[in-house]
Amino acid sequence: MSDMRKRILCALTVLALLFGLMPLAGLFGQGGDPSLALPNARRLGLLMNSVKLGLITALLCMLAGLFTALFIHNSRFRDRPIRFGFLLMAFVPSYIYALTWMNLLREAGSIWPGLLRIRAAGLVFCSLTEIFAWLPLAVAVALLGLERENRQQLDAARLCCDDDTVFWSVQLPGLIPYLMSGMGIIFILSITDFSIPSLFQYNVYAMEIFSDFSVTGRAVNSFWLAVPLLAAAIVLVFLMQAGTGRMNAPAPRRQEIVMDYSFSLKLPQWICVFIMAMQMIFPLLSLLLGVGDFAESVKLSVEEFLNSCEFALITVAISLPAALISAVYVNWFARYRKLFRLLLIIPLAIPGNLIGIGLVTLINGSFLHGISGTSLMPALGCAAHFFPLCTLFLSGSLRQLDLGQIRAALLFQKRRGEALVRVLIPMFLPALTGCGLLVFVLTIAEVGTVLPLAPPGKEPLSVKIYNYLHYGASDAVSGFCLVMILVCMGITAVILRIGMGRRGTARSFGQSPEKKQEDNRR
Amino acid sequence: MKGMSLHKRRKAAKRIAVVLAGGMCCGLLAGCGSGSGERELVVYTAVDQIYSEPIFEDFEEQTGIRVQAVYDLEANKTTGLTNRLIAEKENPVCDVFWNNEFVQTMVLQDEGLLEAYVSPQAEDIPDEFKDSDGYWTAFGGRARVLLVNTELLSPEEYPSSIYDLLSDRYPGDSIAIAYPMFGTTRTQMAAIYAAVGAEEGRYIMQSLHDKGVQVVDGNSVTRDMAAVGQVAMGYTDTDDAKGAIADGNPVEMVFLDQGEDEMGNLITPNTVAMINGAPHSEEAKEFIDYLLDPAMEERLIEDGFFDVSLREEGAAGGLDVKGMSVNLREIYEQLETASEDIQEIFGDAS
Amino acid sequence: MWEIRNLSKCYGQVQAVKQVSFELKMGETAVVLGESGCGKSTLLRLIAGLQKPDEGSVTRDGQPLSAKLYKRDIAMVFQEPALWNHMSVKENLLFGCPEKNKARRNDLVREVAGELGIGELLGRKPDEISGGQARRAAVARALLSQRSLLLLDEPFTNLDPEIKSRTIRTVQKYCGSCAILLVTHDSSEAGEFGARIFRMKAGELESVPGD
Repeated sequence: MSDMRKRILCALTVLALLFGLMPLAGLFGQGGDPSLALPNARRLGLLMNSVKLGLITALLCMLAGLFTALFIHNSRFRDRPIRFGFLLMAFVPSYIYALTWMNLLREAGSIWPGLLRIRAAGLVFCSLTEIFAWLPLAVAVALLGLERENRQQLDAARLCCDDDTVFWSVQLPGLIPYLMSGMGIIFILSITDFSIPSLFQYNVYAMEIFSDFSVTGRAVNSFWLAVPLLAAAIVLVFLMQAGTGRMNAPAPRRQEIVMDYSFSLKLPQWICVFIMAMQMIFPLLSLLLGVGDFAESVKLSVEEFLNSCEFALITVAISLPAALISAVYVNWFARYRKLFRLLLIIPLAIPGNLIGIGLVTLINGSFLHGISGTSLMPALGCAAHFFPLCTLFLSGSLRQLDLGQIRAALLFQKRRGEALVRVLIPMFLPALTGCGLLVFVLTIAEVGTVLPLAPPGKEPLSVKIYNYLHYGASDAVSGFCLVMILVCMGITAVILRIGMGRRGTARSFGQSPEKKQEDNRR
Repeated sequence: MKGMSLHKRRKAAKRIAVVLAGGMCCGLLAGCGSGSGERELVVYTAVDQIYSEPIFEDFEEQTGIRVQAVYDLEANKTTGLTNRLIAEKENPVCDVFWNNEFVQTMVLQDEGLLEAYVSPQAEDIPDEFKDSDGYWTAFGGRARVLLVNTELLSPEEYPSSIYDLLSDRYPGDSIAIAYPMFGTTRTQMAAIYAAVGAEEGRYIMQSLHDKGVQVVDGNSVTRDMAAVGQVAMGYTDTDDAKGAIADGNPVEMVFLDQGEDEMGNLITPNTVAMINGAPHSEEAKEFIDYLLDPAMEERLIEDGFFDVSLREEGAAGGLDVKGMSVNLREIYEQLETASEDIQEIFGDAS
Repeated sequence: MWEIRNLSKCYGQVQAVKQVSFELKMGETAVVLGESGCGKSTLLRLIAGLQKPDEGSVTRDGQPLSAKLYKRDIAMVFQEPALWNHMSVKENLLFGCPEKNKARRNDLVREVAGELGIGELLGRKPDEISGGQARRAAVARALLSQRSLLLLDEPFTNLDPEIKSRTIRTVQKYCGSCAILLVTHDSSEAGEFGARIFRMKAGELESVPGD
């Protein structure tokens, strides 16, 4: 790549980063008290609680995700779209998801009163619920890694030793970039969430930020309060990603004979699949039992759901190009890639409502205030919040691309951009699709960022759900959640079909030589 | 690159690009295309959507003015909307702010975000519930209440004043309050400061703290604790208390300091105000008049959103509570002092 | 003695391997020649157990092979080097080596790597060496696993003639007593091995007369 092009790419990446950090500029205009960034003893304790919860949740969730994905990947559904069924509950906002369990416990308590005596509070319950809530994300990340494994590398190992050794020595190290990315995402989701900890009465730092915001209403102070959380996120995510730079596997292949693990590796898979099944069945049951008039719920939520979809689609349209450019630059060309990665984590770890308020302040006071009342605002907010996540996700995937193919495309392209459009993007389509889905789902479920930015008269469904929840209209909330699940599953199916082909991601990236041969013959 | 043919891939990429671009264009068009000449009004409200939405619909039907609403979440304690309004100060989007409490409305007043409008419908609302310059008007509302477990206390054992709670008759662990740093508990403390003076107010808080009352995570928790008998009484809001009674729990509502010479009970009213520089000021005035109509107060009591009426005559179905005789502004002005004391006294509780 | 009997594999309507049968004695080398896409690689994968045949069997001295791949006593060099990027070249080479004694293992790996001209690269990671070096490392890994049957799937492609000859000599030296099955489209490689030659066409295997 010429120096000029590198410079353009660099400038675009810096622009994308500035876009992510832009809402903070709005906050800083308000002054504030930087001393809040130094936590006192009580806040330090809360911070430790947050880090503890985040670490336990991220580690266990990813572990469960890995074993569930292993099971799916070795099952007879491995090439069928139904393998994405685990995403079912991913479309329910985590807080609502947690509530379904609380409701279920209460319902069960009417049959077994002993259950009511269990005080569902503290770290264990909180972490368990968070693990359940984010398990689909963990499974998705691990499955993506498994489907992009290099088959010949695995085959070479399988001829030397048993499949358990292959798992520990070859398969697992190859999955580490994915697992670490997944853990990083879950860790950040966990330490920035206060809704589930408050439900289980576990005091965390995010709650402190929110409480301060509720009392003082000063968004900029909330930012200063968020600095320790930010620091924790940066340190932990950096540690998690350290040493994963060498995972530069070439194009993956589909293996024909599934791995034959021993009982000691099958048992955790069965346990995790059981957990995954519980993760879906019980809350779904709770929603189905809780729903009153489903047709009424559909009627009540159609407009809001369309609003949510509109915001989410625009968010995807903004996030993906920004993330792709940043990921390509940060991964392959950046001199200060660690600095770039560090800057990327900042918007991720800032509470969504601060991003929202910061963006409103910035846009409303500028010549761009005309877009204030449009759908672009919530989309910009969500894109600023989530595009760094996309970048980290895409960076992990880029590390597994075959650089030779890309260099060849750059060499043979007839006009500028052809390699990007005709080779890099199509090669990367499954990862882009996965990433787009992730942003879509996160935006649909997002409340904090969207709330200050939604145009008047265009309420998103997530906000409506929370509003109705407070009123206690649990039947309507159940109905809304079911609508969300059904439509999102439909959208996912369509996107997967378009983006990944009928038989899944692995085929899009490569196929067995035999299959290739078959195609050639045809 | 081997799974699909290049042609198919290119086609798929194009389809995704079209879908995304389509979504983006639709969004932008939908967002920008509101200039149809129709009369319009933008209302930001912290009131539960389930109550406010039908009112907007009725208003639309009655006046032909289309209401574009922005709702807040209960969890945000109204600060979400307040911050949004402050952030939009340069180029206001909102016309009317309908708040479910009064503190944040006064924050907006201090920021210079409100415009005075005295509604003819507010004539019979007492002065302590109106701004002297007409920047806001309070109406209807809920009250703070002590929810007493009837299995643990007999009527003759019920406290009648907040000072009773400080006495040895009631052990600290038999009383639950929500974290006083937030929400209506904090407002209640500030109201006590306004009614009895800062020094006396601090004494009351210190005494409650010293006797070891249970400080828990919100009004709904105090309600539940009183309902299941974990405590003999818990401070909460009337809407929570009514819910506990409706669920058949052995609880009763007790309003404190109702005597002639006593300070009265805190009422948290709704407030409505017009935004300075509101793009649709005429429509805003029409809506404020509509909202402050005595019939609306009655309707909201009937719907279960309001528990008390602020009007001297009261409204049918409302609870009979003697409110505090201090102006809401005085309570607001005590908030900072009270909050500092709360932080100092209860700082170790959260 | 390795016996391959009536091996067949279909992909949909396409017959990739059709009723292939032959025998391979210990110490013997056989070469399968054929154009790209004629089914050579599939044949190797079927013998290795990496894919299930639709029909036919692979036996050794009349005994069926284990379903567990690592117990089949077969090593394979793939078309791509398939080195594990998280391990050093040395760790890659030692992965399947049955030698328990650490000092002897180290001597062995140095010796084989030296013979193949990659002795200086043992400390490097696979993505730090060239394609040709990676191919030789893949051959070394297979040799060090000391299996009775060595399957070679075009392992010498793109190696320059001198290095190719050196690699073939090393394979013959360290696998003198085991059976070797090489698939390639390059008949000169068959000549260098001095082996029995088969020709494969559209999935069918036929002996080349005179060999």
